[in-house]
Amino acid sequence: MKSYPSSLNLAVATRIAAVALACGALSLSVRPALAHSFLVEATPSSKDHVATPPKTVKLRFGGGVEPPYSKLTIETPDGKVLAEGAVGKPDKPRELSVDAPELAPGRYIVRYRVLSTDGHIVEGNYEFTVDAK
Amino acid sequence: MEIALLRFFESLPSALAVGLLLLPRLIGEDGARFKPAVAFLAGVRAILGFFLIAGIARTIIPPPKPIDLASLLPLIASTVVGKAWAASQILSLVFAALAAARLFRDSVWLDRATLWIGVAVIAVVSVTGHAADDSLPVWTQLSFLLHTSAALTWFGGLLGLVWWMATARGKPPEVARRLAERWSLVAKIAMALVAVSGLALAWETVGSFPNLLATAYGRWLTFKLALLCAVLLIALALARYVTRQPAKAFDADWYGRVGGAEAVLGLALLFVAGWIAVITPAAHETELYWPLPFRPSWAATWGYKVPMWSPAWWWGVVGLALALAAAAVWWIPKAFNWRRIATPIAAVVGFICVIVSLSVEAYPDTYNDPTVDYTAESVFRGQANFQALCVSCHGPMGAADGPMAKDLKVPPADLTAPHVGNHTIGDIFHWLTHGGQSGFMPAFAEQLGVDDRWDVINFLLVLSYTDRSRFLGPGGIIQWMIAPDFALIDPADQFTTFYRLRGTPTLLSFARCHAQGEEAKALAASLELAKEGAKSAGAHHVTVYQGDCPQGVKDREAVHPKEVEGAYSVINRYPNEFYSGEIAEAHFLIDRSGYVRARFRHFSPDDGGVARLSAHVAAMAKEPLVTINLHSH
Repeated sequence: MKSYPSSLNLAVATRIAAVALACGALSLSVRPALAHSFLVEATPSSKDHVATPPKTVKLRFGGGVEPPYSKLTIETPDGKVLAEGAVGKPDKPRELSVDAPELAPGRYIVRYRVLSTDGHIVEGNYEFTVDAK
Repeated sequence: MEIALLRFFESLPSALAVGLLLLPRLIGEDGARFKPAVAFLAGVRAILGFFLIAGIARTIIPPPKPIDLASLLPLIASTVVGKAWAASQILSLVFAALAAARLFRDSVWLDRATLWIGVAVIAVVSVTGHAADDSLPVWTQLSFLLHTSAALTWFGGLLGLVWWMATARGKPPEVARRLAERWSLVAKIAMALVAVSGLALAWETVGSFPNLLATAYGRWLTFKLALLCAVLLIALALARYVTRQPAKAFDADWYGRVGGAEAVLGLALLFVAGWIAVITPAAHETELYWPLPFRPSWAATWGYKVPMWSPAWWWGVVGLALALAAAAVWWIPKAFNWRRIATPIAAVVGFICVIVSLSVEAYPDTYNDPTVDYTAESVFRGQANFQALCVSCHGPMGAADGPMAKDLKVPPADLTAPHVGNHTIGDIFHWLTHGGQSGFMPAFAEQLGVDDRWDVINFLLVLSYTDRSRFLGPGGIIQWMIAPDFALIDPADQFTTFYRLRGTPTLLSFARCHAQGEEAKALAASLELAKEGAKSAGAHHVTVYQGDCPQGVKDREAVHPKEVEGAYSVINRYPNEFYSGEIAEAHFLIDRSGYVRARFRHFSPDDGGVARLSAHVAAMAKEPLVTINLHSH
């Protein structure tokens, strides 16, 4: 039985696959991108200087979030956790907040670990400063 | 990686099961010999589904908390991803039950129901991933379902076809050919759906052409497309074999082996698809890595006089030569045998050469996303760093007139010149981090953190407006100058940033009320007219007033007035006037999209300013809303 033209046979197809996979491996041998942040808005915002200590830290994300599986913390620069939690509102599915204690003047770090509705975990952090009076 | 592998192994059996259900129906065959395999595969899919939810739960609930029923049930019941998994798992259990029922009962309706439930099972593969992302438009979310159902139907059918051909001993070659022919039609339809839905998905998840190479997601997708091209080439060869080979001479064995090679590539495609389903979409990446030392840019090379014999010249010449060769091969009779291969190859390589000739230098940071939004606060910080580190060469307003500039062998860049716009903000970030192209500008990675460098870049963006902003007046300009965002005081907690006022034009008024006597009265009257004018025109009004301004003329205020005044003072330039970081009085009209469109220096009853303000606001109300991304400028 006559085979199809020899220019395209199983051996060639296998070579094509091998070359494609090798090229793919080469193209992927670069450093991977770091984790993303879907954070859209924060109050206080990143690098903000506030005259009055905030009572609540509020974060808004690009997509829906799941409060029971999310965590926001307010920390000092040396890692001491001053507040922890994640409160959401049914009418604002993209927002989370945490109540802040009375914050003395100084620098604070807000860390978040949030479950998006698509099942992905979003993590990040930023800092803000309470100015001295 | 665990989730990606689970998705891969979960999709494989369900796709093959659907393929083995579909293929016999194409030629009216009994299909009984595949029933045990279909039941087994459907059962495997159902079992693997439980491993998937455990894997998803582990990424959500970090150790040392255990993954057990007590932790899984609330996750499944209360989260979108949990509910999506439950729905897909119920479907897979129904699929397994129907496939098992087929072992004991012969029924066309049972066969059809099993097939369609199977297609539904493979369609919902993506609902426990990006398809459930509610930040995506609905049509994108639906595209995920169409994409997975079409792609896995194709892949499962291909695997099934190879299986059928391998076990087709005793079957007449005409039957094998008929199956291959009908499958080819199904595959074409499936591939067309994959292409259309894939384009729709890429539009949202990739975001731009540079992201195809600058992000991990994009690189994997590019690799996936390369695999798809290889698959389509093999499919084309198989389709041509079917149409050209006489039915009695159809070689099922050969066809199955070549189809097997196509299936190997399809397997790699499936793995890549499972992997990109769990990593960050390219459009959401903030730290990008451009792997090439150049980037194509029509805008940056427009008008560029290419020196003869330079690399760009040679790339262009070779590209054009290859394009001409591609055309010539098609028309020269002696080359007819080679044209189907030579013409596409020469055309593609020639196109690549021309693209390279229209390229400019690029760096790993070229397409980096800023870590800081385009805000007045950031511009103010950036200006302070610029004053501290850059003015000695670039000058106080970036005009390359710093005190050290004249002593440099290579003059510093004029940051107000139009060519600055030909560079990406990532290019500027690269020079700030590693030093300038000329080798004379030092690196500032040690003095400036990452956020500080983006603050400087935000300031440079505003600085680049100054050349033309000095001519901004009551007459108005086109949409070009983006107004920096800033935080607003809002007791109702609704309009907490300037950007949130979009949708309606805003009059942004600045004033310093330190004058005395008649000057103070004139200023107060102007501010009163500004307030009344904005109100009667239906525009928002934001006031950044300092000093002893009457309380009655104030409206929404900025949280950081000093920073906002500093940032907007950069564009508050006038011809033949020195720059001042303070704004004595100015009123900027920002349109509903966020562009600065007009500026009024002062309002008085007889200058017609208020009437012009009203006319501008009325005209802007009819303009379409343009989305400005403050994060990726």
